[in-house]
Amino acid sequence: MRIGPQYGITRRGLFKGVLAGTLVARAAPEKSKVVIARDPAPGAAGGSPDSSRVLKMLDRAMQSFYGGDSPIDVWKKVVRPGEVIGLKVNCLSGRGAATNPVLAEAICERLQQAGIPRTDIVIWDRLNSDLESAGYRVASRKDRIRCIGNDMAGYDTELAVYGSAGSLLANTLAHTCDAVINLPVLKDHGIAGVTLALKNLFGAIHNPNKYHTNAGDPYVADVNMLPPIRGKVRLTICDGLTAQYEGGPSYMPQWSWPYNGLIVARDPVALDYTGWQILERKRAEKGMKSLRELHREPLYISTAADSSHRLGTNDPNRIDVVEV
Amino acid sequence: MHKQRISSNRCKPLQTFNYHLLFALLAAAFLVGALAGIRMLSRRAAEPPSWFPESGEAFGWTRAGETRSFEAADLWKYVDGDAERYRRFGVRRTLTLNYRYGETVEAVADIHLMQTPGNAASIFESESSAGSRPVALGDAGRSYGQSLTFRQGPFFVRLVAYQDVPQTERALLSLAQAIERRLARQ
Repeated sequence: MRIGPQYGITRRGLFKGVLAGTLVARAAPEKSKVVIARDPAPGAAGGSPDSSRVLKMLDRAMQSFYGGDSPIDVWKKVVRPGEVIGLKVNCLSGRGAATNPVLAEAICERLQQAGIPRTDIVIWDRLNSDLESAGYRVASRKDRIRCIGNDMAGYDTELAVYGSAGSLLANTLAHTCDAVINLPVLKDHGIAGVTLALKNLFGAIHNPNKYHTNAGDPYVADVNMLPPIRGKVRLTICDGLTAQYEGGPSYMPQWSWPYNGLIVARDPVALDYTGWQILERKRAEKGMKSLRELHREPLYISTAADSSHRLGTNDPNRIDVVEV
Repeated sequence: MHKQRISSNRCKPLQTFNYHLLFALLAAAFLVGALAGIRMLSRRAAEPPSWFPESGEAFGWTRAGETRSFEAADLWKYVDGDAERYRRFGVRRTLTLNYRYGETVEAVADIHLMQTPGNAASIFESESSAGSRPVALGDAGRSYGQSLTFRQGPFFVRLVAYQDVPQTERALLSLAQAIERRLARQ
């Protein structure tokens, strides 16, 4: 670029322009990106999702989120060889409303291709029985991908405290894993409104039953402030292959539908807000009252975004939803 | 020279001690066993007669697994935070059992014993009837096709099938009717 009055650009003018641009950029906070990848028909014969289609959906979502042409290289932006990666699935409600094993397998495949050996991958949730009922095979041997419940792996002996939350953290989170990929399910919750990224971490503590009063507010937000959770959860991939808009967290087939999508975000609050809106739209389509009308609005989402927590944003003007 | 002997006399206290020890161990084992037996009998006496049909009692259905039981305070271990909703409606105990219908349908049956028939009616009515049709079960019943709920006295029952095939709804209804007959005897 040539500078000079004869080119219409002076040094002073250039400097002012750069300064103005910088100020504008600083004034407008960066938006939280939420990518939704969908497939009109990801199912295989027999009702299970087709693994290759789920993998393609996952790749599309991840490449859109992180950018890049290689579905393997994007995972290198999430994890590093030498780290132990935990996949926090949601199996409480068993088959039908749990993180689909096909999705977990697809992620494990990409992690290994990105340089994470299978011995450094741990699929985990509250109970072995929950994992098994959701179709996972419990495996604790360290020479393979582990799949274990907190009832086997145990809990830390030191109490983790933030705000109203005081809990023992699962050893898998506190000690085994260096990073966690959060895999909630797109569904509503009879008490908290919705159960998505933030609430899935209730499976990392020993006493989630204590935190459901007042619609889980501020407990869900406070639990997510516990340092090992805040520090280790790197990414959320919400399983929306089958979503549920009423009757959750238990599986209610009459209120489930094939959303056929995956929702990817680093900002768990933005993801929860986006997922909530998806569920509300479905409820409206089915002629059901909104969660707000039923006094079942997920209050914890705005708490998680407030100045005391800053876990993310629930401002739709600051959320960039990209559908691919 | 005094010889040290390991004589029978010297061994006698040791042998006596061994017998005493052996007797004490046997007595302790007997006591522990008796206590365990008493506790087991007490627990069995406190357990209700099985609310769940045996395999074959409902045509085509077989039990698949063990019955799990949750008192109200522990229900969260089964249904997480939704336990709060059941507790608000006065649940006392929940039993759950998996079933299989031939090779085509797997289902779970949850039976919630509420404090009163009124509580059972309240929780039944609190759930949306959208997409359901009434069925003649207990005091009131709804079929959603792949799931079914009904209430009978203080019981609130939910059946959920994991496969939606043409025979699912009819099969669930027959299982529900078998449960209804069992609960009627309570």
